[in-house]
Amino acid sequence: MASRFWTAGSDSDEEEVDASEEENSSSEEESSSSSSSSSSGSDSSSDSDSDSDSDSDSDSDDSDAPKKGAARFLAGSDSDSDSDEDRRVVLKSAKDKRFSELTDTCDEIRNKMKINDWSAIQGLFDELNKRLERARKVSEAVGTPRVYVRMCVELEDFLNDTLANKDLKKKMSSTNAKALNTMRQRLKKHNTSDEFAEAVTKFRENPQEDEEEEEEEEESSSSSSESDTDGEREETEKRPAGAAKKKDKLLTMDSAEITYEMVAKKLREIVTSRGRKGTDKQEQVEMLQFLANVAKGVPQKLEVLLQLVGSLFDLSPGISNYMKVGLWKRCMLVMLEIMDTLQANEAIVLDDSAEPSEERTAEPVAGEDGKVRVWGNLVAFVERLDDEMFKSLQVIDPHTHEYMARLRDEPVFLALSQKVHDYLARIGDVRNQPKVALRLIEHFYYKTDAVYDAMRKLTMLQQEEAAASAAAHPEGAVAAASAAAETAAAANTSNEPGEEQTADDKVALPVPLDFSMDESSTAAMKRLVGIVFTHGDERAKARAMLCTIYHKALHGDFHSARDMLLMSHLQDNVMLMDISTQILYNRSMAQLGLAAFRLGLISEAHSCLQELYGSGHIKELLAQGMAMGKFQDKTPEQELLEKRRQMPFHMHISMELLESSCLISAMLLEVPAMASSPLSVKKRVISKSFHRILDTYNRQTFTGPPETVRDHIMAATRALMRGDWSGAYGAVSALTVWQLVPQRESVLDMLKKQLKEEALRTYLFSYSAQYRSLSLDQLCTMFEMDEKAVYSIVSKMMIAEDLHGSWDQPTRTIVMHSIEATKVQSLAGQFADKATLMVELNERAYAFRTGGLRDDDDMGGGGGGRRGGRRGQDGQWEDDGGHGGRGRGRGPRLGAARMGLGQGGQDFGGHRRGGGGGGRGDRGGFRASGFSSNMTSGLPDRFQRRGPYRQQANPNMQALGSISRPGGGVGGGPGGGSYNRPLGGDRRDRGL
Amino acid sequence: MASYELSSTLARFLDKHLCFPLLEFLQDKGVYNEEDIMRAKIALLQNTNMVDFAMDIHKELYQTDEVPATMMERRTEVVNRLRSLQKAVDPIIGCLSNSNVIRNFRHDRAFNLQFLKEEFDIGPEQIEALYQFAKFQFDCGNYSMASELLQAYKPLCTTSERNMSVQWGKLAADTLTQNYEAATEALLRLRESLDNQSFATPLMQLQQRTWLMHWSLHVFWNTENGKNALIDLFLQPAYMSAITINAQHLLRYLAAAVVVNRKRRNVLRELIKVIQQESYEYSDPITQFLECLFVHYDFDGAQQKLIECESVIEHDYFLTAIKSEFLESARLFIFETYCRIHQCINIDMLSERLNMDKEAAEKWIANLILSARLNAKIDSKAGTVVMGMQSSSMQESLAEKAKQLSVRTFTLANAVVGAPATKA
Repeated sequence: MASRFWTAGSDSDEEEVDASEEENSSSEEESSSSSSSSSSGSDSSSDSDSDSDSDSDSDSDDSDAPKKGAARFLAGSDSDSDSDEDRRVVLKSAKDKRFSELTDTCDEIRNKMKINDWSAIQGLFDELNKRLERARKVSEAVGTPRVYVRMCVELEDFLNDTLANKDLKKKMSSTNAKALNTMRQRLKKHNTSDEFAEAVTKFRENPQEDEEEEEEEEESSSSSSESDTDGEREETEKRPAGAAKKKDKLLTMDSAEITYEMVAKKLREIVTSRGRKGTDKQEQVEMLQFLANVAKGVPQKLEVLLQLVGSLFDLSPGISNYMKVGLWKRCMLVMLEIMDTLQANEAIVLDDSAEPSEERTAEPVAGEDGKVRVWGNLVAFVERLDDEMFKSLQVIDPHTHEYMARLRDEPVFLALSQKVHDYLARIGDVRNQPKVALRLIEHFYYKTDAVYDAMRKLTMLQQEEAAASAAAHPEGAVAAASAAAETAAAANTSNEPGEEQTADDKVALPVPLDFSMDESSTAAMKRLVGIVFTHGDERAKARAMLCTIYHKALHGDFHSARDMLLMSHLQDNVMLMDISTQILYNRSMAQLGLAAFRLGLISEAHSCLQELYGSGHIKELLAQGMAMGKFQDKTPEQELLEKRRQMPFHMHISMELLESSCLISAMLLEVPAMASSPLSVKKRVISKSFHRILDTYNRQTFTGPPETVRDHIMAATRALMRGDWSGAYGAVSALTVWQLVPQRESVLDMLKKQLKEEALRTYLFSYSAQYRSLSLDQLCTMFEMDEKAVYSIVSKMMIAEDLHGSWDQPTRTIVMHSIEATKVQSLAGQFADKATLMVELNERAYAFRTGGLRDDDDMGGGGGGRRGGRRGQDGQWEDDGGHGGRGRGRGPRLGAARMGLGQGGQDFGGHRRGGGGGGRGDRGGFRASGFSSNMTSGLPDRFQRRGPYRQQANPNMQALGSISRPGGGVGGGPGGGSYNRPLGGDRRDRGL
Repeated sequence: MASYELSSTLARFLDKHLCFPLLEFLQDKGVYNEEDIMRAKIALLQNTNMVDFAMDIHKELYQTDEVPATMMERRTEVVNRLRSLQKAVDPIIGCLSNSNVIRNFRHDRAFNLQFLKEEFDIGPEQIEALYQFAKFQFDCGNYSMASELLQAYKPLCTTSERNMSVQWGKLAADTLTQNYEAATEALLRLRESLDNQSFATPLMQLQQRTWLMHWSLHVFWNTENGKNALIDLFLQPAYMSAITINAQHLLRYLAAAVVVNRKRRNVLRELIKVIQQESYEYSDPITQFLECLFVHYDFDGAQQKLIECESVIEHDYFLTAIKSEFLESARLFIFETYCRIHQCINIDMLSERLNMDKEAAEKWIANLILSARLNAKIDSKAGTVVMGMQSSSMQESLAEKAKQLSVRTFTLANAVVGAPATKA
């Protein structure tokens, strides 16, 4: 349809107008009667079209849009040619200023009309009237300026439209609606008053004359502001109209005849009209596509292409919806073309600080450094493309082929990002390079080796295909691609959305042949993370760090992942970061927990996962689904925000796996602890959520066979409490989630081993009182463990005085010598414990009152020791809980997870690798060099200089060090006093 | 074997001159290719002023009398510099050698400078030259002189930066002259100034602490009470975190010191914790030994590790002196722990464990019992050792608790009631 117009338009403008009017009228007939007169009277004029068009704008339904757009073009073409050719510059300097003021105000009113801001219009209208008064005084002219009259007419029409449009009215805010009503009354009075009535009717009758005069006036206003006012004036109608006309001309011209200037002008026109109401974005895209082909010189082509990408982005609606896949692909194609061009022409530099498309008539010459600067921001485009892809993956149902197809687009995006990244590296843009690197990192970090390899293979496959197709079409892959894009573009212009869809999907997106992915994801991560650490900003560094932690954890490198986490002090700072980083933190934490679990580091795994899982909001914390809480009342906005944060399905961490890991860890820790001290006063709860679940499970009158993860683990818990490890193992290994673990066998083996050990401990705790002696061999057969392991565990329990007994070496038995306490004794023991607790509290209260002065003098050492000792035993949990709790209280729930990665009873501050992250860097640097070669270079010539050592440090790691907050002041100071400090203080205390 | 050899790691944190004894030691032990060590020595000496020494080694290494031109050049350069420095410092040395002048010095550095300026016309250039000369002498291997010069320079240096350098230099010089008393003192002072340093970045502090710990190895392992001091220093929280971050291999020395030092059993738990925590980063037979013994209670494993320890210690410059002491203590460790969890042990088995014959083992145990370090009896008929039981009954523990309660309550009450009384 559109193409018909192009060709027709060039033949004769007059005919075209008729044809278009005919078409137009069909839609206009339904429009309000007030405007029909004007539209019928617009045979030879165009600008009065403003009425008719605003009508059709609001009245015609969406499917008509392209048709209308085309028609509008042609209608407008006439007047524009007039104004272009017939313009004479008439200077009337006296009235100039006043008139320009008037026109300015009019323009402003038009602007406000566009956004329906009636209260502003009201104010401006008042101003307009005032200015009119003044203008009259200056010019001493009789009658009213036509600009003013035209404005009145336009306002009236627009008002009528707005009133007719019920929907719009409903949506208006109350103040706006009020202003609308005021305006209606005032305009009515105004336009029907004697003064203006005549002028208005005259204008309505003969808008053409009006138009021309006005044109002159505007021309006269001032030559410098011409482009501005011109643009403004034309905002609704003329721009596209002009474009159509130009296009007509251009399209029919031989490409050789098209000059640089013409293209530049056209481009500028499109740029200025971009984002305005009433511009047909689709048309712009068409035009730009055409311009790209006829552009003169590479820089110009780039300009056009960059603009094209922008316009393509404009086509997608809003931030809440995702960009259509086909559109996205077209964007990608254009971007790839840009990158190819840039690659081929090294002298061209894209720079977003360069002057954007200033008036140029000739091809830009190279700057003093031999570079041609073109305005453009590739990074923004890449980020937008990434975001769009992310969004589409969020929305598409993950169980469909569509999702898979979408995922297949990832390699191309990676290729593009890599190209942009390389390009930025080449031009030395260290400000933007980390941004792209981070995007790439965020595509890599969650991929396991298998997934990465699959992705790599896919890339190569796609490249092969692309190469094959390139061989088939001699014009080359890129040309083929652009041809495909053209067909898609052509299809896009057609009206049927269905057709558009299919055409879009057909767009082939070949992976550039010169793109190759790194051998392993680890290598890729290392390379990219290095860049971010050296040049990135704080947020980028933190994110890159979290991604690295995640990636390392995913690959089972728990220790270094943990060290990175502790060194970077992310735990302390994450509360202050944005939500998406907090989510990333939570994800890393979850992955870290899983890694620890796989390695059999149960208590570490538990402390990582506990916070996440115990919160009960794990889905929200990981952004893997919305909680369906009964008691939550979220506003729709909150819900929308949350929806936007969700992770796409392929990045999810399996909830079931998390749940089972967490619960199993809790079980392994909790069951022996429960068995060891069934009556103890100071019963410390390792995992509250586990206890809760266990309690509900125990309360059930009838327990069926296990179904859910919880059921399985509760069944296992029951078995474990009896010391029945095989039963426990049976229940745990029946879980289906183990299939998701790549190292299934080893994990199950680890579990079996852990279960046996804990079962043995539980058994000894629970039943040792019933034995006088226990044979080692019997224990070995009972728990199917080798002698050494049993021996080790039992010895450990003896040393810790958990088990009152000792070995009898010649007979290989454990001899119990615990004296069983009588009921009275055990009660007395409990009483004593409680009394001790009370005294302790009293002491503390006293210390609090007096600042602990005297107390410390007398027995500070003892008290401190006691407290310290207690912390030694269970410091980890206290510490953990306290901080977690505070965390929850402080900020948004997201990111509440914290962990205590202490080992055994380790208290946190002591072993966190405080402040000296960079120190590790030094070590890394040193390590790199070998023995003999290093002898001279690495020797600290301490005596003379100290600078060089820091320079030798690995730059990555040093940057890493600078992320980390200096670890708590200068030095731990001479120790001693640190005992009496509160837990939190202690954590921070030991910097270096 | 060489995998547990730490010289290369240590060398990174030591001064060139402090490395030299290590290289000599390695040469003696013949762990590495002798030529390699010689080459390393030359490389080491290249940047010092001990050119003649380097030449000697070169001749020995290549069996020639010819010396590369660069060395000769370096030599002339050194000699020239020596001359010019000598000239520059002559006045100040002459002045400082006068004890009357020194006596007039005060703690105020500005005053000292002023004093020198007025009395002897010695300006900052000369003082700077003094420092340079000291450094030069140190580089020449003339450590005692360097030490003296630094001592003289100390009251004159003005910047804290320079002051640190002087302290480091003093420590190194005293260490190398084997004047360990002075070195200990220098070490102590240096540590103080490190801890009180307020201008250093955490990174710098970390680095310096690591250096200090390494340098101190030279001193601690050669002095009487050094092991105690070593344990004290290394277990300081700040230094401990420096170890865990930067130099896990120092755990070996800490572990050895703890094993050897019987009085410091109380720190064992802390040490084990650190060893366990760092085991993925660093482990050698000595730490593994402790781990076997106190984490896994794997006595056979500990025995095995002890044998490995022997050769490791033999090849360690610092530890080689305490080898027998270490082995003895370690054996006792094993035995003690073993006894704690057994009530009856076969002497045959024990002697095997302890690497002794039966007679000797019995004697050894008898000695332990005699010296009241072991509550046990030997049942010679059955050939077993029976441990004495010391499990406390329920009543006892209750009584203990009650007693403790009363004490604490008393203090508390005293504090509450007594407070106004003392005030009044």
